[in-house]
Amino acid sequence: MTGARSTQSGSNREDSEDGSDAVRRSPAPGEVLGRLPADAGLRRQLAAAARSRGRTASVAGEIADIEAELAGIEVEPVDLTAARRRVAEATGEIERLKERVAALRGDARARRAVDAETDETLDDLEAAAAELSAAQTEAIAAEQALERARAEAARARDERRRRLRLRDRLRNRRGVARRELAEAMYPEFRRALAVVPSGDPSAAGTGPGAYDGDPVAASLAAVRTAALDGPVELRGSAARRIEESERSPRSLLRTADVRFRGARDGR
Amino acid sequence: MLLVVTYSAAARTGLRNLCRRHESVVARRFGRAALLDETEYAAFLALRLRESHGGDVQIERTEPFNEFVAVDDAVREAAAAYADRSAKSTPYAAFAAGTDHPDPDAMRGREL
Repeated sequence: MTGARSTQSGSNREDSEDGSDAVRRSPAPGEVLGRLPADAGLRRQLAAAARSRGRTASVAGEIADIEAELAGIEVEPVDLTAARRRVAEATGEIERLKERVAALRGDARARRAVDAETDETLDDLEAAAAELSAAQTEAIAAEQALERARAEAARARDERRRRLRLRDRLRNRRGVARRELAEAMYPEFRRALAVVPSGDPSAAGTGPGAYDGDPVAASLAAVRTAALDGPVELRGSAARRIEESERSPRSLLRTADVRFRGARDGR
Repeated sequence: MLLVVTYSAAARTGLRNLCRRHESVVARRFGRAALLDETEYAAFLALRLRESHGGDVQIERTEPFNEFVAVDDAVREAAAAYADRSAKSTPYAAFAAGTDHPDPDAMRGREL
């Protein structure tokens, strides 16, 4: 075992508390439906439409509770690198000194055997033995410090575990809310499909998971069922569908502010 | 063996991917934890995961448990006798009271 390794690469990157790992919030309706073709799946689009109409899911209260609990969690950093390194170094030092003491003992014996001067060797031996004893004391202190750090880390990890469970539950409840909201919109969505270009109510099936029709028509129908504050921007195929039908975009989509982007003079 | 436990969704996904890509080093997989072989390569993979996820990855080293080395006869015998008790509802403390079986608090105070 060799002692110190001085690279700093071991410094741990603490996870981004609000970043990648936080559960995605439900987006504002305009983020989902404000630009067609939409990026989100049909269930998310219909849930956004429902929210724009002021509907809330039965689990909304539970979701708020989980969010509040999550907001109250403070996670302490867990990094035992320094404590572990100290133990490793102390142990390495003991090994090194033990070898040195043994070598000096051998040396002293050999010198005595040939009646050579041993004072200097014995001085060195004494010094090495003292160093060894100090190293052993340090090793015990290092072990104890690591033990304490481990106990602290265990508490911090309990908190991380609680946070992970809450986030899992939150993700799950958001999914429940989305399904519920999307299903509540489905009858209206099916009727809207009868109105929008390329829409086909018979492709709607029994629920959001069963829709088997044109995705752009579905998004147009979702917008029609929504009550959006902001503009709806139509591009590409979505713009073409509306232009080809000879009805006014505002009455088709039941939205005050419909804008066309990039498709007009394009294809 | 190496026990790797994760404490965030991202670290859990990372461990899942590690297990999928390096099946040969995985001894056992649990939900957000895994037991890896005791090889330098498995340690390297575990360390890589910890570099990416910091405190959300815990790495421990486990030892095989041998009850004939780790504990006295009395502990093994008490475990066997208690498992074989006639009154299923008797808690161990009551079962052990007044017998030669070790006291639960005394056992709690003794390290392996």
